[in-house]
Amino acid sequence: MSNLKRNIKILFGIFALLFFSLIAYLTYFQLYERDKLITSSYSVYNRRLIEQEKKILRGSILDRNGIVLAKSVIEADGTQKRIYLDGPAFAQVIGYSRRIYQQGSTGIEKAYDRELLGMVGSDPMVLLRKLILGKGQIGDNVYLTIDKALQDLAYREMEGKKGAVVALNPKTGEILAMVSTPSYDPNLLDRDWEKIMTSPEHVVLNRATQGLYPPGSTFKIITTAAVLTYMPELFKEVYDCKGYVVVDGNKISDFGGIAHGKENFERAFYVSCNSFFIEIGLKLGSDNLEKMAYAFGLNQRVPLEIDTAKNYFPSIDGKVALAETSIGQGKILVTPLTMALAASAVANDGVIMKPYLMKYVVDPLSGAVIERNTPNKYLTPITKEVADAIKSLMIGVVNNPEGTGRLAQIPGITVAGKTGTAENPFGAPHAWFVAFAPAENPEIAVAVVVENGGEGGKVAAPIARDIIKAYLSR
Amino acid sequence: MDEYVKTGSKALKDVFWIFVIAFALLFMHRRPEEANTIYYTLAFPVLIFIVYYLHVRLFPLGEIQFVILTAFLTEMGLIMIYRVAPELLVKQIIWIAIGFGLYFIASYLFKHYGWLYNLKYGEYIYIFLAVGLIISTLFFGKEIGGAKNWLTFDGIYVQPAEAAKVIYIIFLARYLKDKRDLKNILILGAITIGIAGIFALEKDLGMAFLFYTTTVLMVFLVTSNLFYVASGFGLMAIGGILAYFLFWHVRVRIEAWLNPWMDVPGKTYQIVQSLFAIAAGGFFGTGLGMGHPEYIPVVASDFIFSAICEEFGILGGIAIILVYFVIMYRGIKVALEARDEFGALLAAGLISMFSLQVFTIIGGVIKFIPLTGVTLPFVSYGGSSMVMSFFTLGMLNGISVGEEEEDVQFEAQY
Repeated sequence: MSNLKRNIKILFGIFALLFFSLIAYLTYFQLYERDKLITSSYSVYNRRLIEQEKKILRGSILDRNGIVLAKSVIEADGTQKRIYLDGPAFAQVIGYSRRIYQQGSTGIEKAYDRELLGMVGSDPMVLLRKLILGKGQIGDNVYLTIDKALQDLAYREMEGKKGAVVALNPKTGEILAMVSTPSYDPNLLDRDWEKIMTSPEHVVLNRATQGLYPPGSTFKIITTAAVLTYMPELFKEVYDCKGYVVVDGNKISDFGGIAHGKENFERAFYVSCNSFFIEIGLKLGSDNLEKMAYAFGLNQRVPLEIDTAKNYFPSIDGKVALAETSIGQGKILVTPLTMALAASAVANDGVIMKPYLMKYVVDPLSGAVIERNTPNKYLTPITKEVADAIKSLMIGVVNNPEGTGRLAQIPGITVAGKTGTAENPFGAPHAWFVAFAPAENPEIAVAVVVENGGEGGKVAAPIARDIIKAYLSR
Repeated sequence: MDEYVKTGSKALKDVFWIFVIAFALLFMHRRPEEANTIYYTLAFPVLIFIVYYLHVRLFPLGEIQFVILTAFLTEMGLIMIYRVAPELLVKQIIWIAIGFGLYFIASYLFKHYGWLYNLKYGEYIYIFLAVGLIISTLFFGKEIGGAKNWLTFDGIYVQPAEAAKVIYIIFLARYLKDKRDLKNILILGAITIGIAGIFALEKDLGMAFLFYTTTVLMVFLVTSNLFYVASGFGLMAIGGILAYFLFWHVRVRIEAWLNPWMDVPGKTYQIVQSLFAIAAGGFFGTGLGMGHPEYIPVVASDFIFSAICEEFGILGGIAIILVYFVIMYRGIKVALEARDEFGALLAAGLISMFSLQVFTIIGGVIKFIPLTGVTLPFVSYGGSSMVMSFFTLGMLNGISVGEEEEDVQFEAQY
């Protein structure tokens, strides 16, 4: 009997443990799982959000200066209508939220859905106050880091072309412009949903963050970084360019088959000599090149509030692959955002700041800031010394009489850049240009891609120049 | 004693006011369709007070807490049921009234529970009754909500397994009182595995788990043998793995637990909706009438805890868990104070089955453990579960009262 009594007490302990583990798990769930659950993409199955969405006047999306880009109005029949005031220029960045039509959501509309629905103040006191003040019916406003004037300019420059532009502040990671063309008018989503979604030109795709392109010669920034970091002796190499090299029996030509003649590292960078960089790359070795590419995040998905594609950098297998990779060809595929960040690493003493699109979220009635993004480091691929050395090379690309990026020159401002002309199986090469300015104290870094546009120095560089010029003279 | 009654009536007043305020709000929120609904609703607090008064009168030494705590649980159930399925409210109140009736009957019946032990061929009778009830649905049963565990009589749905639970506990107490050697434990093991197997065939995994685990715990109580416990749970694990590969419905449950996102519109719809509801409630809840618990499937029975969490927050949910904790504590106390081993085993078995059931369903709907469909005692909608839960607590009260009265007589002699 006494054993039995002891065991019954143990039984009590077991059940006490079971019950309190339930309480502990519930608490854990609310603290750590809840937000994930509400914001997850599976929330399309959460009818509560849909109900709430119908009741709440969705918040506005504004640019960094407070210019309204998207707002909701109530129609005569009581339903809401979303109006995009600068439709095509912002279509992919802002995206859409069409959960109530069972059509999913993208872009900023998706990333800041809960904020726009006014659901972030889950603190009961905030909610209570909202309820008492009758504020429950309006969502919060999201201010972007994007400058509408710059975005519009970039869009005008890209109109009629296929491609993307990314401009960002290399010191903070704030994205100043992000354009993808061809675009569509999100105000027509109701009418033309099918047509827009199935467009053969993939207008919904945000080419700036999800478009994957071979980086071409812009990758020479990374090859150079690897040389300066791991084998600085290669920087003193001198080489006689015949316009092609033969690697394991494969002939790889320079663009247009131009023989650059005798050249040192600087000149090879200015004129973007492929033969030179292939020779350098073969001496540098796969491991060093891979290590530096990974340091720049070329095998990663760049963290951003909206969806980004994972960059593709397969391990280099064999001499031919190494030769191709050293000049940004071969199998590598990167997003324009990634290359803008590579330029920003050079601009910002070797540090890549984590890019972001939301500046802050404001409760429109009280004016209180509910959320705010602050600059954070993302990667540090190179040292300040290496960054400075690459910077002077990039200045040469734009300012040396032989440089491939001369069209990016701006009177009174030192622009540093690198052109790229990326061969691809779909036709004419993709035109690339990455740049930052002013070189002495960089305020903006830009990446421009024009699909099948031809030479980077001729097609992409002028676009970057106009964007930089407009931004610096604002 | 006076102090005791005073505290009790104070708690009961709180229960009363919660009820009045909640239903005043609910009736404003959604006007009842029939006047009957209002009369029956008003009958509930009256019923509680009558039960309370009778309990104090008839069993001054009884477990008055059971009345107060079940009054709170049933009222929380009624509030949520009116929110999600108002047409079931009146039925549920009737079941509660019948339940309290059975509570008193059980209290008298089991005050002198010795006859259960002394009954000739008792253990054979109990086990045949229990297994008979469990098997009955296999032949005459109806499949509802994926499990074949219902009998219908003229439109009334009965879950025989609920009654089988109590009879099986009586069997266990009787059997384990005397038969504790290896051979008999092995026989008991075989019987239990058989019962769990029948439940598995009926796709009633919750019941299989409850019967099996309760048996293992009871064997531990009488033998203190950790080897039995270890092999018991080891066999359960093997059985679980076998069932995972043999039965599609077991696999679905376990996969839904491991990865609720694999098929949200289909196989994992229930658990995901339950989690959405709990997440919507947060710590403090959306407030009564402000949430959408009706989006959860089978919310009035299996998922009522999630509905409570949505509108009352997990603080409301934790309150419910703590109430069960106190009931469990009182049950354990009854077992400790029982006058003989048979009574102790009976009480311990009853409260084990009860507590495990509470853990199984709450743990299931919050995705702490794989979901198995059992009801939340006193809260979920459903007659069989309601009356048998009351019967269980009535038995515990009876065991307790019998013990106390004997003590009083004993003291009086001196």
